[in-house]
Amino acid sequence: MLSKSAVTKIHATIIAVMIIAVTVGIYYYKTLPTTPNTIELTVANISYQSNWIQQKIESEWNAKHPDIHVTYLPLADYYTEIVNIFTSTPEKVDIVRTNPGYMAAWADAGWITNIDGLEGFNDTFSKVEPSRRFELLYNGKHYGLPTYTGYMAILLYNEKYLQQAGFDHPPGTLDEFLQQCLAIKNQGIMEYPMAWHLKGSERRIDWAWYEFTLMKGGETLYDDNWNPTYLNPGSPGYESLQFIVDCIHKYKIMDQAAVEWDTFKVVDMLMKGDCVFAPADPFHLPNVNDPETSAEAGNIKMALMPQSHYTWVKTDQFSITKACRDKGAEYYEAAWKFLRWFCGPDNNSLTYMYAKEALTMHTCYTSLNNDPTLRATWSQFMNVSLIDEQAEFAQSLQDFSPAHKTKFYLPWVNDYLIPNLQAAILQTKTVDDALHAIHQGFETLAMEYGLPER
Amino acid sequence: MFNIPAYTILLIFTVFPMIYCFYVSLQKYDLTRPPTMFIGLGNYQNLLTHSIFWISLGNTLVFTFSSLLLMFLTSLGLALLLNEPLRGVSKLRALIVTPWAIPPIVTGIAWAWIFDAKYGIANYLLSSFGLTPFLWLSSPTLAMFSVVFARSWHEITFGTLMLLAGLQSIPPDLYEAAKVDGANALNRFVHITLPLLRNYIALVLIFETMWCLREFSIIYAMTYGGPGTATTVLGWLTYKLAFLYYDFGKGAALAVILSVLTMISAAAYIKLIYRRIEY
Repeated sequence: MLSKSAVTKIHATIIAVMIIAVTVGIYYYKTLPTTPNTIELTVANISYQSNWIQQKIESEWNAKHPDIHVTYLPLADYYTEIVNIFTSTPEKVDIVRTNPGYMAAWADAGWITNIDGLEGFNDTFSKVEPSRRFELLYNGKHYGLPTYTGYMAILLYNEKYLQQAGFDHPPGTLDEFLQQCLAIKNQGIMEYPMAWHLKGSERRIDWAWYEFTLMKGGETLYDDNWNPTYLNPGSPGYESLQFIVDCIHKYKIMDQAAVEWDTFKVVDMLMKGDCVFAPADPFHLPNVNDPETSAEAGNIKMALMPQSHYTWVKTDQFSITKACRDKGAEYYEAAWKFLRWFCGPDNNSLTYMYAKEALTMHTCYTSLNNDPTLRATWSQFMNVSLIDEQAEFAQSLQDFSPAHKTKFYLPWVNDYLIPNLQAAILQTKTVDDALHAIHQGFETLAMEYGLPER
Repeated sequence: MFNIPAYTILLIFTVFPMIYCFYVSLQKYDLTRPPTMFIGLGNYQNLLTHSIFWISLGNTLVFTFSSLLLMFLTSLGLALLLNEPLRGVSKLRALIVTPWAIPPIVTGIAWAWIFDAKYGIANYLLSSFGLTPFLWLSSPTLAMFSVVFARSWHEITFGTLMLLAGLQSIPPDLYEAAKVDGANALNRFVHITLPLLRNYIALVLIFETMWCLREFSIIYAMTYGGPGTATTVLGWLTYKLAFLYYDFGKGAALAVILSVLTMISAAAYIKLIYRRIEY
């Protein structure tokens, strides 16, 4: 008969052996080679909503496609880290997120590859919203599929202050916009009714200039021969910069401190009741009338951009890397297959429609925009028909500002466009001098980098 | 032989990076425009003919001079105060370390909040006293002042502690002898304190000039080089060239230019200010 302590020792030994066996088993299971001929792909993205996207990929792709296993790689400082990967270990990523500001440079650097001619490309491309198609094109080739089109400049206003000033509708023209701002100011309702993003960093002054130029006519900044359209007084680009300058210095309806504000700041001011008119992106709409986040909940409405109603839209996309293509046809085709699923019309909602704050207007695909379930969801936060109407006037940023298609877009914007726009606004340069300096910078860089085909 | 490990570390972490940086500065090394190739002094020529370089150089000199002046005068005053046998001076000496304990990027963010035109505490206090608020970060002149002020505040610790160490190394007998000879406080300061402090002053100026010339964190946090190009300094420009435009050739060239500027200023300080002290 065994003693109590001996039995305890035996039990303990058995339990310990079982724990060790299970641990070793799990370890070996995880290191077991995958099914022969499994293609391993890595998709890199910004780190927004990572957990949800990762779960979706695991449950809806990896579980159903044992031959193509996808690893999701969210990067916190995406645009810096991805360049690091491109230059040191490009073979580690197969599909990457890109946007109109980077696509040309990355394509010329040989980091991303085009997708023309791949099976089903024409079919998928025909389903993309027409205004988004141009953004995928560079030098006659298409470099990805669209994923996120939450950037579209819309106008928000505080109805309460407008009614206090005696107006029962938002402005339809820029003259009316000016009159309403002056009335609000002169009646002592608000010193600076207008708040616009004139900061020199992200979500910034060049977008503000685009918005007013589009309102004044929608003309592209450079024509087909790369001649500027904004240098002459009377042109929409010239007049819009002059308008912004006058709003600050002549009419005093906007604070000069706006050169410190980005779009998040102006929307924040709108929600605090510190301004009446402010531009925004549609993804702000769920928050501006939420009592938990907005002191002016219930008062903030959307209006069509005044005057011509034109606005700009920017779409992020996913591209296949050149390194993936170089691994061989099976990798290239597998990446394309995943890309069509990840970014295609059946799953376009995958990448940005999960959380309330990511709800936006118009997806990249016509069929989704007409989907009644999606429209019903959107209508909780926005006037969907007004968004539809605004979207009809949406012009792709790359179409309106063709400099987006150049390799030198970032140096042009950072060294010439932003500083000179701000100089005009701060009146350290005249509007004329500032615009000429902007184009001179464009010419200097064009000589150094070369210009793409139009 | 015993110095070999130290020399090896110096070689790997100091000499090699300097040489490699110079080597990269002679290349067309733009990640978005391969291939990389030798172009000699092409990057330097490009920089020196670009207006943004001269604007940045001018801003850097203004930023450096202003920061040094404000930091030095404040540090000297504080050091003189802390050198006195006052009650609670030891606690004050401990407090003076606070600015340096805060990372520069955090300093920049904090001061950006303080100087925010709409919601910052600086304008709130001005308004409370019936004064006109300022556009601290959106006026070109005030933006430069704001970054200078933030930087000087951060560096007060170093200047004060160095000068205090210098003050405490001056033999008190000299002051006693001077008092006996009828020298007043100003005379003692000018003829005893300053001359005997000059090596410490030189040290403070060398280090602070070096750090000012390559300032980045505070500019990044407060103004992003703006408004316009009002606070675009060489350190900020180097970051933009290398890490925003991915042009490592030009970034390296600018880094070399910055290094040369730093060496020239250090040599000038040593020649003009540094003296062998004999009591």
